[in-house]
Amino acid sequence: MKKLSVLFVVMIVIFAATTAFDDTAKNPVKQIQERQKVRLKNFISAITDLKSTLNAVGSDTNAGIAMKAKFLNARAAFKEWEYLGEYLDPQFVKDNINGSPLPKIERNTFGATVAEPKGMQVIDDIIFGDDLIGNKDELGKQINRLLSVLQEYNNQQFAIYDRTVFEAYRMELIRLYTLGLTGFDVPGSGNSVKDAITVLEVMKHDMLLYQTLFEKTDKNIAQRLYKNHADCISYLKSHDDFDKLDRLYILTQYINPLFADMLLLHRASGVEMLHEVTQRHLLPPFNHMADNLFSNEFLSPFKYIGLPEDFYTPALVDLGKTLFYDPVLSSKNNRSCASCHNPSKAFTDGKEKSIALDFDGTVDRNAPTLINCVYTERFFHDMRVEALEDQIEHVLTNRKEFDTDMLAIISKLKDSKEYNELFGKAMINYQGEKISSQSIMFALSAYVTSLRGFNSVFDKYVRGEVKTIDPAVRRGYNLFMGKAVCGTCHFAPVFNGTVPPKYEESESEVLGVPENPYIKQPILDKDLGRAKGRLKENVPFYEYSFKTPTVRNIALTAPYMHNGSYKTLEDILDFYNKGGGDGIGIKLEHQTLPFDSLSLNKQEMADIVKFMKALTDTSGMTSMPKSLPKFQKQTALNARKVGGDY
Amino acid sequence: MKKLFLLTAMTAVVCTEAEAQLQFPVHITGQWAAQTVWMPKSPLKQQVIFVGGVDTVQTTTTYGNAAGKAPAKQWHDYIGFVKDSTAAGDLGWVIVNHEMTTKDDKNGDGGGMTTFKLRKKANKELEVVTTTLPDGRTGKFFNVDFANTTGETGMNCGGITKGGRIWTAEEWMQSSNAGIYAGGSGYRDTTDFVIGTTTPAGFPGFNGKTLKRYQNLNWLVEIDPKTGKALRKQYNWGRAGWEGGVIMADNKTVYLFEDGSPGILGKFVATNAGDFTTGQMYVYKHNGTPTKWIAIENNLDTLVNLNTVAIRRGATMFNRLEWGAQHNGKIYICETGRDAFNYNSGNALNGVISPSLVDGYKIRYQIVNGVAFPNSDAAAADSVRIGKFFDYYGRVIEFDPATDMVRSYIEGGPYKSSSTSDQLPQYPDKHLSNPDGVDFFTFGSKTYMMIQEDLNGTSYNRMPNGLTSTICEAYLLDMSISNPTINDLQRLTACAPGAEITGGMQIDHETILFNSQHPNNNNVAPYNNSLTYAITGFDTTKPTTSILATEVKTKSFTIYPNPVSRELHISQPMDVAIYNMNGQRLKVYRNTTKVDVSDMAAGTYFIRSADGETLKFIVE
Repeated sequence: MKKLSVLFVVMIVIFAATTAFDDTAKNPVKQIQERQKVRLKNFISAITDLKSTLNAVGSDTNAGIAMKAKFLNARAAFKEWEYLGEYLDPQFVKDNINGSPLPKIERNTFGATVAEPKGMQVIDDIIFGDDLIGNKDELGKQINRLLSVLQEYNNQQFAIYDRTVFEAYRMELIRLYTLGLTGFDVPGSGNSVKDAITVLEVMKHDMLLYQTLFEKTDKNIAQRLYKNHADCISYLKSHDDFDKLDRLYILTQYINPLFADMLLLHRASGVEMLHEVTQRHLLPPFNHMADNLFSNEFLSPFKYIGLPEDFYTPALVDLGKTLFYDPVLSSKNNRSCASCHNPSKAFTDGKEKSIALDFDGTVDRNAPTLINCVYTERFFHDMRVEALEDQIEHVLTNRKEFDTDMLAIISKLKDSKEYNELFGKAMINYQGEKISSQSIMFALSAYVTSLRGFNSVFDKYVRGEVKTIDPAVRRGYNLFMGKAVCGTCHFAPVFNGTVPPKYEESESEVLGVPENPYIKQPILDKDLGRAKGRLKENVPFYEYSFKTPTVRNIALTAPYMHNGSYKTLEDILDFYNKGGGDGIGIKLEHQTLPFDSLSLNKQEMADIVKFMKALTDTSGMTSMPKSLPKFQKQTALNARKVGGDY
Repeated sequence: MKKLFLLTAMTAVVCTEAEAQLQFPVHITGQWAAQTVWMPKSPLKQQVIFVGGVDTVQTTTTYGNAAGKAPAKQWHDYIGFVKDSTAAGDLGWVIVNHEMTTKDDKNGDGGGMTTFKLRKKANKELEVVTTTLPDGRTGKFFNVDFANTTGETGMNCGGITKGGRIWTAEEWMQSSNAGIYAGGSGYRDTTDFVIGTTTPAGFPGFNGKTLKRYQNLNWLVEIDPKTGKALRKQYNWGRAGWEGGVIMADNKTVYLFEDGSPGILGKFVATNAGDFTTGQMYVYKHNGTPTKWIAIENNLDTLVNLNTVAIRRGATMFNRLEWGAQHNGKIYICETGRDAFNYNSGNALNGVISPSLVDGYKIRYQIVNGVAFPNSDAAAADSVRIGKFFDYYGRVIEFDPATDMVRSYIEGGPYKSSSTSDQLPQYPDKHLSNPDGVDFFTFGSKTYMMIQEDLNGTSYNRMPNGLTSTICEAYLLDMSISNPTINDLQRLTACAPGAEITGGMQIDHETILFNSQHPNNNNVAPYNNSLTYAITGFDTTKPTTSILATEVKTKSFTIYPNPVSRELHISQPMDVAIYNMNGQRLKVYRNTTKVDVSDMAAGTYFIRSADGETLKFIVE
């Protein structure tokens, strides 16, 4: 035993001696850790350089050229740091470096403290905007702020492991594809393709340190990964026109294969994975075990809802389905959830605004689709609630919808032997009362959560399940994710406002939607949206702001927008093409949609519509219960219809 | 066989060193464990008492709706407690703050409080008692009526319990009626509020005065837990973003803490002990001469804008004060911090920078630069003022009423500089960020400060591994330790993911109540709602060390089962993997001294070190 320890010590000494002389023998993570420190230092010097260039700028109108060059240097330095920097501290990057150039509400403070826009995107916007000199003071402030925050951050220490590098690589593939190549983070410079090349180069450089490990793990896959990675860089270098880039080709040819192969190599290498170092409840919605950006398992729905995964059983989904179509949930027992969420219209109702209770006018807004609605941080057009379960309660108590409350519903349901049995079965592992507000919410939430799927023609093509796709759909997708910048708000793969790469937060936008677009001088719809959703979000920049909905199943969900004012997809495209509200004479200071025209021609708009129509998938979701449970005392209820009277 | 195995494992370490970190096998077979480590069940038990949104409260006649019942409000924050042993086993009245603002037909708009009576059964389980209030309401939980008494309340965060009386703090500053109306989703009543026209809400000296409705928010409010009614808004203590306060032993002196950036420290001295309706209000100015207290006139116009007035007059500016508590005559207050701030514009130019922030800045400077801050405190204060201090961890500060001096007592963190780090730094075993709630508990002869976190974010290492979900923890600090550091903290409990742990209130010698506020909505029920829970089974006749750690030595590494937080502690930082009975790898920890087993089912597991030693341990 003792001998053995001696041997051990000797080997360590020998090894230590070897490393001292041979840098390449170093553990890859140690090298990457050092590289990453250098990358942050380079980023800091590039910003310092940008600062001195700005200081030298007088009123010289050509100053913009020098500033642009220096900024692009800084951008490259940032992008080299990004893939690990973002992985290790995403919130820091979002708060300080690469958040969207819009005001926000400061997290977790007293009251509604407004955090002014800051960081690289604001700087990008000013330097590549049309009044650099006029905005010189603001630019100086922004650069100084960024510099001081980075210098401070340089003092923080972070641990990088092999796992971190592999996971950061895959996370960056999502980021560079969904945010980078769509132009999301370069509002002024449009430097997307170059950024992507920078990121891919730096990742290649780091990943080569793992060549020995990967080739030992699986030589074929390793070689395929390195080849695809290099080919992707060459492809981008020879196709650097933002407007013409074939993003569907890049997705199927490079991004998804790299995303899948890195997962295979990581798993097979024996290096630990995220779920082995993180408690299940802390994992992000992005499922790190998914092998395709458009796979049905790409996002975990349970990260968005109150219902625990262990409770999600067929019995509970069935109970939820029964409740969904049961008008007993409303005060007068004549309308159900399905009254406004009709399965044949992808769970919308085809109306501008849904009919109010007692046919007394309408509710305030358009009924959104429920399919894939689970993938969002917040619910309702005004984003007022955080969980699907809370959303349900708002509908129950709304005077114009169900006009009742949980306590009344519970006492009705308890009279039904059948319901008691169904709840008993569905909530078998639940400690509390079987028929309770919690169980009703869980059941409805389970059913709505079951209404999801990425099995449209387009998804199947991306996953390689079908081999061809209509060229118009391809063109449309490429426009959607590129020139038409739809993908910078409707993020792939859900094409809603839930932000990649972790899909933890959802966004809303101020578009300037008119009351009625079909009149000569449209006027702004009066609905204040998000600003009146939550007291804490009652700030000017959330006025007229609405949640970004999914465009999946959009062929079935007309009319469009929160007020249902747009009848067709072509009309919607025309609205965006003109620059939203600003383009039709509705001036809003806080419009988040770029004001300028998208310069799309008729053909291009038609292609985008074609693409969106290829996102239809309601398979397995539209069946209704054949009958509803009977009541013993309240026998009058037994005549009620599945789905109610309206 | 074993010899050979170990040798192979070591060789593997050397060979793989160049291509990656050591990989633990995904599967192992056989059982090499010679000694078994038990992870006994904690003597502490957790019991859920009151769940927001699920439990129902009895309501009064409000907005024309008859008295009845309604789901309780959420966002549980402060817990107040008043002893009452009317019946055998009765412990007393518990009152829970709801830090929210919402439209509510039955409970009243805004925030609020819930009151209930707690008793202990013979088997030591706690039980909420069904009781009848003087106004005839019968049930377990009661909504405290503000709408018909003092006018609506809102964002009820911290509070004060003193001698059977309870005050709640309305934290969130509002500046317009349109703001509180919020397009119809906030407070429905925006008419002017006339003080003294409702019962029993009158206030000597201010009766008949008119306030804009939004100005009737952001006061301390006294309530009566036994009648479920608010008594009076404490207009003479000033309107500010009050988060908490303490009343001293003289029953005259009140200290108040403002959650603002800048935030102020207030003091009220009552003329007669126990009567807080007359006295003198002050705000703190640490460099004031001859007195460090700026007197505030008892004038409603001044009191309504207390923060602005105080800072205009040169008050000391803190960075978000939260709750405070007293021990040995000194007051300890959480200064929770804010990632980035400066006091270099507007009214803040009139105020002075708190010595606690100067301390924080100097301590940080020393860690980063390896040398003490070379210049004066005034120079450090200037750096803080212009935004050079990124205060993302916060601190607990100490205020000594005897000297009127304030200092940083324990800085959040640990702040570790990259310049002094290893190449693969270890995430700190104990990490205190954004302290928010504080109180003192006595166990045996020892007194402990209990600090509760409310993370302002996950950046800057407040959470490890780039995680963006938060876990807030409660720590104990032995007050007999002089100059404590983060290493002296003992982890007591962590609450549900995403939630703020708050409210910590000792109910009797073996029970502490906590609130889990605004948890992630995907936690397993009931932890997906704000809730009040009890930790029972403390034995406060003994020091906590007897609960918190028992060491078990095994082989070459030592393991400390820690039944309280369900963590397996390892003697020195090392790489380990955890396997189940089938030899399947479940978890891998790098460079760690602890393994969190709290999410593992009861059963037998193996822990394996980098050189292949494997030990068996059992989670009960």
